[in-house]
Amino acid sequence: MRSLLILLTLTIFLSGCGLPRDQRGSLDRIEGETLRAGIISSSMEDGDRRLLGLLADQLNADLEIQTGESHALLDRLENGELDIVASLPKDTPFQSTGQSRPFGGPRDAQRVWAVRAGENALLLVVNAHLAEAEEGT
Amino acid sequence: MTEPAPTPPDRIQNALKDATRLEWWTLFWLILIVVMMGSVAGGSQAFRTAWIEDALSLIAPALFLISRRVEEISPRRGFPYGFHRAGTLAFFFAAATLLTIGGYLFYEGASKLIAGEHPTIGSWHLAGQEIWLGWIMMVALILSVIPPVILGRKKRKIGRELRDKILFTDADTNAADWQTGLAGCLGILGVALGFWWSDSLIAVLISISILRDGLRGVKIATTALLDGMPRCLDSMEIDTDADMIEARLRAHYPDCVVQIRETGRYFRVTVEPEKSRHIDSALAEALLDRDDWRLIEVTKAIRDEFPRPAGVDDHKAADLDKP
Repeated sequence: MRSLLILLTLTIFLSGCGLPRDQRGSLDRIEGETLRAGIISSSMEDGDRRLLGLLADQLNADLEIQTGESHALLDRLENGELDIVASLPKDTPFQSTGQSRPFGGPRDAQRVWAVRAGENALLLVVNAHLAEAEEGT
Repeated sequence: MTEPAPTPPDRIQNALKDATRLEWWTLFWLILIVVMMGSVAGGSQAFRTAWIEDALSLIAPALFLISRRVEEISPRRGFPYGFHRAGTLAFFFAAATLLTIGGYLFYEGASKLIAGEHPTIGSWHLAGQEIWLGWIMMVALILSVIPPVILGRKKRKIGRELRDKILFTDADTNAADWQTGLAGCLGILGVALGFWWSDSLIAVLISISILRDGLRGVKIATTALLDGMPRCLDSMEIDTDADMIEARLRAHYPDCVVQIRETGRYFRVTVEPEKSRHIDSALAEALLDRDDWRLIEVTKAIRDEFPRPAGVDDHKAADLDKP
């Protein structure tokens, strides 16, 4: 119990200082500018488009969506040409990215979003967003 | 036809009981810590390394408890000297494990550092808030150092009282656990600040400390297993007690060589005439029909007096007997 209190205090204090930060500054670059997202064609595009739109609103950013095949999109993510790739299956083999919490539907149909490896601030925002969306539905 | 087990004084017996009790507590707390840390591990190589280090530090107390039983087994025909060195042997294996796994963790950390891997750490939904897992790992690290540091300091005192290198070294490792905890926190804090390298760099540093503990243990154990002179508790210097025994025996037997070794908790000393350190081949032949070259020493033990050393003539021996 005491450690949970320490944890909450620590979290509130440190997030007040803007921690954790991204290792390559994704979140700072997105806010007030553009959220560049990739959606894998053939998957549940509509739900993801809606969730990406809400996230862009929350960050005061324009949304720019590219659709394509997962390999190509993840390559672009790793090269920093995209900020987020949406709608990957939960057990995606692409481990060199940062993955969000699994969400949406029953266990075997869950999906994850991917951010560039090391973008911990953006990932935290994405996770909070997805959790909120799921509670809302 | 075997020697009876030695009976150390009550003070030592009690300290051994305390040590056993504390090692059980160490096991209990460390298992709890390893489970707790395992449930929050994720994304950080520094944390993973600290976690594995804690799991590894289960080995020494477990082997201490096992070898405490084994070393009390009475000598028998197949093991006429008893099992006094069970602890030393167990310690050797514990240290060798540290070296192996420490080496592997070093490789893991170093290759992540070289590959420039950017550590991604997720988050947990707790008490209605999204909490970064890094903060949770830091709290886990801080909690994880408290029991080992307290137990380590207590065990170190008993290890000193017992002159038990194995217990002392294990205790020393526990007592130094706060360094790992602090280092791990710094690594994660570095990630929070956006420095990708801080995580694997700290992981490498922690793995080096595991390697160093392993090397230290292997050195202590091999020295004892190779019948080396007894060493001090916390260094490879020769134990002053051994020096003392050697000096006093040499005063009695000036022309002899004094050999001291340590079998588990006990010293064993041999005094050999300097000029003929191995037995005469005629005597060896009398004791062994073939392969008499294999027999180099037959010892007659001193029990309650200093007998006259072989080859010392009578009037010189009379001088020796004077205090």
